[in-house]
Amino acid sequence: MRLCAPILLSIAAVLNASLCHAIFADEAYQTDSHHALLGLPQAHTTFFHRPSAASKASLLYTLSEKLVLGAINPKDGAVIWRQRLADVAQNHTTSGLLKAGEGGDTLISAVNGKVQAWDATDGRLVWEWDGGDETKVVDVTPSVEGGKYVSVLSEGEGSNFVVRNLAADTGEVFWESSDSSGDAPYAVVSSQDRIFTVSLHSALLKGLKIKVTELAPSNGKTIGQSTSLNSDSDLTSEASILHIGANSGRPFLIWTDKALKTLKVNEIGTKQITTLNVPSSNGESAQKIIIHAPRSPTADPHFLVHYQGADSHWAEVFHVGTDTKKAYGLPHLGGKGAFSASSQGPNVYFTRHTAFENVLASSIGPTTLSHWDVRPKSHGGMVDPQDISHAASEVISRGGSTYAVRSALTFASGDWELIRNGDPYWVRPEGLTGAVAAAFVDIPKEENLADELAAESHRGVIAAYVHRVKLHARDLQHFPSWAQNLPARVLGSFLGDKAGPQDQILSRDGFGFHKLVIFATEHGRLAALETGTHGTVVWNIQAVSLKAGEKWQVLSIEAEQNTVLVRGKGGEFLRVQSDTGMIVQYQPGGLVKSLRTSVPVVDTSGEKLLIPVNEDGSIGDIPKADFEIGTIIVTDAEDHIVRAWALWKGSKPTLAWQFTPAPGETVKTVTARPSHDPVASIGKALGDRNVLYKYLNPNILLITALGREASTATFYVLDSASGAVIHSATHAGVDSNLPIASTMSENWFAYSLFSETSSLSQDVTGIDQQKLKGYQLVVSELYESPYPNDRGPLGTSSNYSSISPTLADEDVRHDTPHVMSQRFLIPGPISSMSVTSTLQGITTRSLLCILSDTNALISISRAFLDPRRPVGRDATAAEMEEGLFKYSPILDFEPKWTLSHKRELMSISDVVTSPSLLESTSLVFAFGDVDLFLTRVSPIGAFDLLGKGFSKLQLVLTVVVLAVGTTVVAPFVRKKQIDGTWTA
Amino acid sequence: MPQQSPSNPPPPPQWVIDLNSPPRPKTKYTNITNPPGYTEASSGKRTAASSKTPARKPPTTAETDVLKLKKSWEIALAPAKALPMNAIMMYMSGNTLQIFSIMMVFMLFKNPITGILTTNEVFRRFESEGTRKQLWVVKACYVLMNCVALALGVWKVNGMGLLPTTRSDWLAWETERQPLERVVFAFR
Repeated sequence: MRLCAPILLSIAAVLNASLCHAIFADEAYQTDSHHALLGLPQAHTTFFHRPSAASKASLLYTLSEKLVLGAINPKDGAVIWRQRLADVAQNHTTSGLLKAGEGGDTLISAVNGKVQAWDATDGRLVWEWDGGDETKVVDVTPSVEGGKYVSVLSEGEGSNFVVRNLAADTGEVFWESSDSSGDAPYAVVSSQDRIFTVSLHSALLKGLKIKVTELAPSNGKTIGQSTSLNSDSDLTSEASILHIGANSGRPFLIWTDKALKTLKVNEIGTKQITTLNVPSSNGESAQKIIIHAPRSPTADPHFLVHYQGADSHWAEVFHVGTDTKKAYGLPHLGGKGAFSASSQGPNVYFTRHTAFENVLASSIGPTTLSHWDVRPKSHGGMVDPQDISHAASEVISRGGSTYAVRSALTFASGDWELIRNGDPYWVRPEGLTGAVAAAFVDIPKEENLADELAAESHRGVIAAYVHRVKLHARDLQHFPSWAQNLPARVLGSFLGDKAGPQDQILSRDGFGFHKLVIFATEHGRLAALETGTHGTVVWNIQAVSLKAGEKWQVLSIEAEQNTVLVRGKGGEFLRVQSDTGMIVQYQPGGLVKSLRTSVPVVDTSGEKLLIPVNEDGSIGDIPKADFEIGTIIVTDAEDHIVRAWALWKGSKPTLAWQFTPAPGETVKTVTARPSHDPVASIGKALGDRNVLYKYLNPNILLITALGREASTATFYVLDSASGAVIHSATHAGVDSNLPIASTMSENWFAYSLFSETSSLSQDVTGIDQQKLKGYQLVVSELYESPYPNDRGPLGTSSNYSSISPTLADEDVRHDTPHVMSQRFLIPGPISSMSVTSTLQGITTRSLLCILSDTNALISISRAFLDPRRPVGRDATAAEMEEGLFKYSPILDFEPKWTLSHKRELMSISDVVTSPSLLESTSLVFAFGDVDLFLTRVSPIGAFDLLGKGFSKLQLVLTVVVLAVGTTVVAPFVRKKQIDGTWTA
Repeated sequence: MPQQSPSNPPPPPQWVIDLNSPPRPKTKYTNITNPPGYTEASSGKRTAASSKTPARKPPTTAETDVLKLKKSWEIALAPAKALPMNAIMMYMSGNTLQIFSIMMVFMLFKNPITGILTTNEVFRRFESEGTRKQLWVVKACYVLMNCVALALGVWKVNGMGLLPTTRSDWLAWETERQPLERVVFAFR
């Protein structure tokens, strides 16, 4: 078998020649799938809007709670463009503002201190105004009528607030007017060439006073006196202001009291205040009041007040005129509902969405214009219409009494659904944003053949035979359907279309491409995607209920037989059926206060015990059990000390060792080898057929420690059984704010960081070199010995102990591997690293890197990152046979390494991999704050899979032609042979 | 006549006479000169030999044994004579794995091995009471020569890297060292 080693080597050389494996054009969009998400749409920033005055169709715009601004095509739900307005790392607290001037072709967004104008059609940045970190933009309003300027109200620049007028087309500041009266800014209102600022003045005793000031649009000077609208105790908090008609034709201001008993309406610019009583019919009082008014300045000044009670909701429609008066009321309906206002010309329409029906009403009278019953559960039961959070709609009158209504409904589950005239059109799973942990899970088998066969082994021969016959007889029932599908399948495989029976049943496939990805989101949701069928959402459940503002912290998701175990922080765990999403078992966390997590440990009897780990890195009470000698638990505590606890030494865990980094350093991350990390070969065959033995220790740890003051980063490799540091490397001039990523697999580890390009040792020699800085990728390989054919002092022994060395002389550090490192300069930061995983580990691994500045996922072949690449000279023939080529310090990310090809992966932070049944291919799932991306990667090409260029038809035709030819020619040949015998 | 001498055998037919007395060979010393370009010697020798063979007295066993031995030595050394040619061919075919080099290497192995296996058959016709004693030396030499040819094949195969002589060829049978300690990681 080993005689074929050179054959394998030459094959490897051929494969290495093609090491620039790329995604082929016909694979793109076929093998990968991408959920380009936006995040949960917010009520105040979601609307239909025409991208430009000339366009006929409108788009659906939203600024989500993830601060992703996006435009959605209402026809199919596809993202036309999107922009993330906040950095990933930035902990955004604001919800952001999004405004669109009617008839304008830009959208104005404001997040923190930044105001940006976006082209509504293609999402390009038109201009940007940045007030700096201190500034916080409170309100932004484009001027009415085409839009000449944009008024920006901001706070936090010395004076209390500043109003600026920016040019709508360039962002140039026309004028600014500051106010240092001590009032809190609330809004800026622009109406028919009048600009008002609304601020809140703290009253003497308690409560707030609403102050409206008019500014001259030409220079920002205050016009006249500011007017105070309410009495002292009227308004208690900012949240009591329900509505301010920002850029409508007749802007009005609505606020309520603390008990939600009355509504007060003021048309801005006047002093008149109308008081309206909140109806509380059926003994139910409103718990929440929402105002819906059209955004268009040309629309009639009508508004709808939506009262949400505990069990029902109702609404009233008001007209603002010389005095504000109620037009009509909408009846009580049970459950939650959502209203939306839209306008066409002066006409205002209100759409009501409930769990049972959708109703279209005009603002003029109480007659129902249109009415549609709600479908039970749309989109294969994925969307539940019960829990509508809010809605945005667009009503177009088709003349007469027909109307076209499109509504985008946001559900509490995070689904965003568009319904058109009551029919479900598309749904976007926006609740899947904010993924924090993920795992690949095998699809559960329908009938477990292994179990059936195992049952036979316990029976007698005859009973087993009968059982087997019965088993096969039972299988026969699948035969008719199988036979029925056979022609279609054969035809499909020849014609190359996969239009075969696409049943919705989850089933495994022969290649292992069909798996489930189960991931948890910070909203407390668990969802499963099918990897084979373009990442369709199989199920999506609310796993835990969280308080507002709380984020679910998930430590790990582990696959079990037919279930997954989700471990949350604080000892919380959840067991969920992997194919249906049914919660099997749930244990809330926080039962033991300081509990951080628990890890399963197998004792000598093979039983799995959960060992609690406390917040401070210590081990809690352990159940009485016998542990194997050398069972050590490594924990990582908040105090930047890595500890190891030996369980086998007694009834209580004893501290085996603890690792404290050098003074001034803190432990940033701790990395171990992946749980599935098979090693096909324990050594590396060199070009001269010698072997360099890999240092393969499943217990090694890679610890990244940052010295923030000295701006250093040190990478320690530890043998976690003994705690011995077997390698360390320090980098100077590290920017610890930039991403530092590391990973470890097999006998190598890699990390990337932003640091000085010269190493410390070169500095010591005193060479006055320029301290150049850049992003670096460092790859190190561990070998048992620097010499080929040498297995180090341990020789051929089949096992070893890190704690009690077998060698007599202590001088020999027998466990210290030989480390070869090489560094590469890379063009950009890598925010996360991962390694492909295949079934046997024969395929050369690839390094998967997330590039945060280009929003891409790339796969770098290990052939490029080999530290043994010859430096300063060309490779010799033997080295070339190994696949080594000349080292070049700059590693450019070739575009063809990009697994995400044209796709933009927004805010991806983590990658998980899983082997498929094909040795060449690894499944990859990238997830993060916004997007989800699934793909397959073959690091050295799909050598065990027929390519798409393989024509089965041609093969079969060739065989058929040959067979026909042989049968036709055979009689002639036979005749000729017989004749030849006679004539000879 | 037939009655007169019934016991007398009839005279033999002409063909019997012809058969028994072949035409008298041309006298060597004739006055007629050969035509130009015709050399007498070879044909003369041949005819002489053919004519003389029956006449020559059969060689003694000792003589045939010497002859047989001489012939058998020739056969025994034949593989050695092919060696230089084979060596050049092997050198020329290169160390890459191609259909030609593989076929040539196969022939290089097949011929000596079949030769060694059929040693006794090859020399059977030379075997006799007298040669038996010396023939084993010849056979040994034959085997040796075939071994030399085999060695050429081995050299070639080694050159092609097909011999499991290096450490990397036995790598698959070496096992990973197992640590005695087991570590469970409890960090995320």
